[in-house]
Amino acid sequence: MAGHSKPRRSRVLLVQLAALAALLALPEILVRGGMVSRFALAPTSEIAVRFWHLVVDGTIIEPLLETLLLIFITFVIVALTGLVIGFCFWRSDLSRRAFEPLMLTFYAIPGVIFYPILLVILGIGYPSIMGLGFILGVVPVIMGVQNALNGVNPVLGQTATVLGASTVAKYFKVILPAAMPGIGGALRLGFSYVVIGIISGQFLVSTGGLGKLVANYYDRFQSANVYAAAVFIILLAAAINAVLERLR
Amino acid sequence: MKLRISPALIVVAAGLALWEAAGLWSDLVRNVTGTPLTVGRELAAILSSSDIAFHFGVTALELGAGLVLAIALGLILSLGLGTWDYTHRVIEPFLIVANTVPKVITLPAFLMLLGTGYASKVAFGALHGMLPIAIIVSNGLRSVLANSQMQAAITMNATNGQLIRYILLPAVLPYLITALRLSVSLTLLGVILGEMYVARAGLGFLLMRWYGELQIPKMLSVVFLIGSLAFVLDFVFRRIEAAVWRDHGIRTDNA
Repeated sequence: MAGHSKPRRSRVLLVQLAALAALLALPEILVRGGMVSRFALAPTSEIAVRFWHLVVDGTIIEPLLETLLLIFITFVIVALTGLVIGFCFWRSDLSRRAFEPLMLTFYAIPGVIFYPILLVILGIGYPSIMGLGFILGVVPVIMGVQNALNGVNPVLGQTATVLGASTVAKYFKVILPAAMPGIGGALRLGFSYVVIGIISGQFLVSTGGLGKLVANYYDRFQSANVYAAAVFIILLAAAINAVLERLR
Repeated sequence: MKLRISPALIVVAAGLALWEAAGLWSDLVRNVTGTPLTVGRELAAILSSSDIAFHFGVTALELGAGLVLAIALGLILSLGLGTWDYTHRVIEPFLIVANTVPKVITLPAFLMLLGTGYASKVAFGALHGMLPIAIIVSNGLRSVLANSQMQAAITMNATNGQLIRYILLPAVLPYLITALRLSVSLTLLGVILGEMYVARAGLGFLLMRWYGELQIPKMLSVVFLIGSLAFVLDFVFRRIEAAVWRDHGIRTDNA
């Protein structure tokens, strides 16, 4: 069953490209062959043309910048909040016991159901979109930071104290660097949830950005544009994730 | 366990009390958003109406059908393709990418291809739910195939049927249960997302309708209902998961 010799990398890549090509050919065949309506699907060639126009005409620039800016700001807030709360949970057992069960409950629940509540409290616009990104992103960061800190060998902190390090130096120069690999993983996970939250928020209640772009094209039955913009967003998210994976 | 959960209950109780107290001071809270007591009364009224049974039933059926589809697709991907080194290496990058991108952006495609009815919610739910099964089960399978019991059984001339019945299935079961728990949560997410965007029935539809009509206590009741459904499903599967892993000599912190 499981082969002992590793398949060659170039051949795997070749098969992947072939699979991708077959996937790309499918819409072309289905639509040109009249098997699927033009309102439901667009031929690949047409999607490619719309994709090219989105990028070259600059239609995508403004929504893209808006989305990226919201993702960036929300992520900074998520990272800071997650680090502080994760640290508190690690330091104080009482705060952990008081809030951790609530967060684990939160984990199991689809976060988008809180979006209408955010819309009622914060109104339609940036604050509620950022709120959704925050809700989805902050819990994995808190949990990850806490786990990372728990994983640090206590002897490190004790040694630092014995050697005369101040409390601040102990945390910032010894324990935090030791927990960094775990914290990096937590931030990466939080980041992909922030991306999902921001785009979902923009898509569900159209206020702007890439999410609204797709929603608008869908409302106008511009199927080729819907697919072109969706492909753009998927490629963007995949590229961001690949870069973050490299950084680690 | 009971002692551990009590500080959290105090936080919840304090939050509800603060919210109730805010209703005494603020007209906005009293008349528009409602207080825990008014939301509770609204929830009781909603639960006793026959309407809710219909919407709950729609969501439950979409979830059930989506889950069956997710399991089928996930198992095809993991059993069919995950078993061989070659195909595993070919498809894994696609699965990893699919797992981290915002899948919500493909919802219009589902609506255009399958219509705005139940089919698009079922398929969209299955898209979310099949990924953990495909990824976790195929990795579990591969670790089982490489383990020493398997090698020993092959050396002792076990038949393929024996290999599957006595080694493969028992060893893969824990992975399958873990994958199933995640799959239930994610399929529900997909179904609710689909209902929230364009739908004529279901809990997600009710949520957005009452948000649109600014009937906030009713809207909050639906948030509570969906949250409870997700919580109960997760709780049950966590218990099963903990029991299965315990049988395999591995402790989880679920129970």
